[in-house]
Amino acid sequence: MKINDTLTGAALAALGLTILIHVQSFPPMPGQKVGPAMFPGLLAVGLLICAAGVILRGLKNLRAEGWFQWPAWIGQRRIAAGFVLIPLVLVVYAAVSEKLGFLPTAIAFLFSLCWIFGVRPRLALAVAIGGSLGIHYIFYKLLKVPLPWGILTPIAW
Amino acid sequence: MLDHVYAAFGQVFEPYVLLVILGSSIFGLFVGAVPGLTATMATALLVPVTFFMPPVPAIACIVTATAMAIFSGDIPGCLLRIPGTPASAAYTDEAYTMTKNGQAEVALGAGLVFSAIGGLFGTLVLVTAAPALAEVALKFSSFEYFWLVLLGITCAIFIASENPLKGFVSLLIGLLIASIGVGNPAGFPRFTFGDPNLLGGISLVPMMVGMFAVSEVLRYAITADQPMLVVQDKIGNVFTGMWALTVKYPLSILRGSVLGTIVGALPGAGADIAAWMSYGMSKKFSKEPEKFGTGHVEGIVESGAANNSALAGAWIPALVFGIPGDSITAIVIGVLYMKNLNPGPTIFINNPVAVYSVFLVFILANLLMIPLGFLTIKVAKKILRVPRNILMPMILLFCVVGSYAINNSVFDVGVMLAFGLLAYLMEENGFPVAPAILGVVLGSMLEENFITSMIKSDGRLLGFFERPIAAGLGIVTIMVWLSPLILRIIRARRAGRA
Repeated sequence: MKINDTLTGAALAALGLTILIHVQSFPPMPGQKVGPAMFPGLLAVGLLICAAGVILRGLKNLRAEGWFQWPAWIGQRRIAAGFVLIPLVLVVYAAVSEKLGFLPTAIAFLFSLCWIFGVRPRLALAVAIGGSLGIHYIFYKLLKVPLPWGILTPIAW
Repeated sequence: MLDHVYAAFGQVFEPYVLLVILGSSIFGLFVGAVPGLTATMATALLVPVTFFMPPVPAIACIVTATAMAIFSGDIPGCLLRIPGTPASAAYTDEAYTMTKNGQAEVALGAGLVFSAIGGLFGTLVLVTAAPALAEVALKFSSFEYFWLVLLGITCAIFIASENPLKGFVSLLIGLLIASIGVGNPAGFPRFTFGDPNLLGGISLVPMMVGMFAVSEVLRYAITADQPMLVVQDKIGNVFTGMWALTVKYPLSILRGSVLGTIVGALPGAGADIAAWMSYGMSKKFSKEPEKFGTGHVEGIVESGAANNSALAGAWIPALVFGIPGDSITAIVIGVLYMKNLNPGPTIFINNPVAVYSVFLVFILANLLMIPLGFLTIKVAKKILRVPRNILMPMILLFCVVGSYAINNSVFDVGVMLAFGLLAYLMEENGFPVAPAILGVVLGSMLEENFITSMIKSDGRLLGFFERPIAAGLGIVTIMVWLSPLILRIIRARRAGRA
């Protein structure tokens, strides 16, 4: 997705300005001229200057590019679905993995992604189960990462 | 010094470490040979695993995997015309043309042999230059460090980005990200929004995994799988004729290795830029420039040596100053801090054994590259057939668990996703990612040295120029900043005269 630089620049300017205002509330270091506000403050000023440059560039190209350029794949439903599914499964993982447990979440995670990328369902299921168990073994058994068991706690191994 | 070297030998030639080196070699060769998986991504994926290792094997793991990946990126470039890593992109067309002319062996062999030679050359420079530089750097105060970091990030923007303005934006975003949390001279929690997860700043590992691995998976999702058509069926002995090439192009090998090491050592520019520059240089100085593009091996010899020597070159500023030479060493610096091996000139005094171990692993990895690379070329067609629609979901799950493993917190999975999307959007819109990473890694160092210097000089900016080396570094930095302006004035004058 291409966003015209005018919009990006405006967003950067807004960010710079917000930071510049926010850092004014930082307390100074006692007895010093410099404090925690100075460095981010300077960065914010830099961001404002750059934002102006980016906006100018954007305006120059605005007629040729338009505000937004949607990528060609947006019309291809399967590809678009795959692209959207990636952040979606990550959000779902973050939300439910602690309660549901690593293995059930990971199996659903892998199966849905494989399936959307065009792997045959039966193979996708095998990959999902095998892959989840493999990664679980590496991190839980070998590296001792406490991956949550969730609903599988009674049969934890 | 000699007993440190012996101790390093002892640490590296331990069965566990050797096993790690072998394992990461295979991993690196595989990742490099699969298009869409880069050497930087290999590093990002390895970090969560190295998190659980002692320092020497952890570093050995990364050094070996990246050296192997940069070589094996040549393989799909040669056989499919798809570079396996961006570092091979410069000569992919040339290598593919050679394959079509029935010379795949020569192209792959040149990639392999001269990668190893370039890598060894870069290592030699690293071994000799780094300790010498560290001697000098020991005398540096906060003023010198401030200018050095500033010069480093300046170089990154002017050399590594097509568009310096967007590079600057990217850098500023990185620096701002680095200022999140309590890690500042005043110890004041900045930009944490009251969230305890942000007090310590944003964890480096999930951020790197997001920017270098998740963004690649996103990119994979939108590039429909191309059918993998391998042109040449059987690959013969790749070592045939390599000695003849060495004798024919000694100057090219040397030039590629030297340029690669220098470009690698410059902050922000890594193996891919080294390869592009070296390929151009080779064409310029060649006796037969008209043959370039028609399946001529000379450019591959030179830039193949360059991209591997850049890897070692990037470690010079990383070890001596804590300033990364490329995206890979940016991640490495994070790992060094996690292992309490804080980079800087004192690492050579406090941890000489670890430093010599790094040197040894570099030599070992580049030697090991020859036999393992040979085997990889033999099974290349099988690797190229690995279904990426199965591989990518697995990589994504690995990213999730790896990010989670650092703090055992799903918050980091969110961080990973956010930075994956950010990196994807940035690249789509022409904002380079490398300066942002550099900003994140160098942010606290820049601020600390800036604030310390300001306090020492009592707020006088002239104080930044009062020590000779600091003044020199400061003037060079400012000149680099002004260079676009000066160039424009010169051009305008010339145009006016003509």
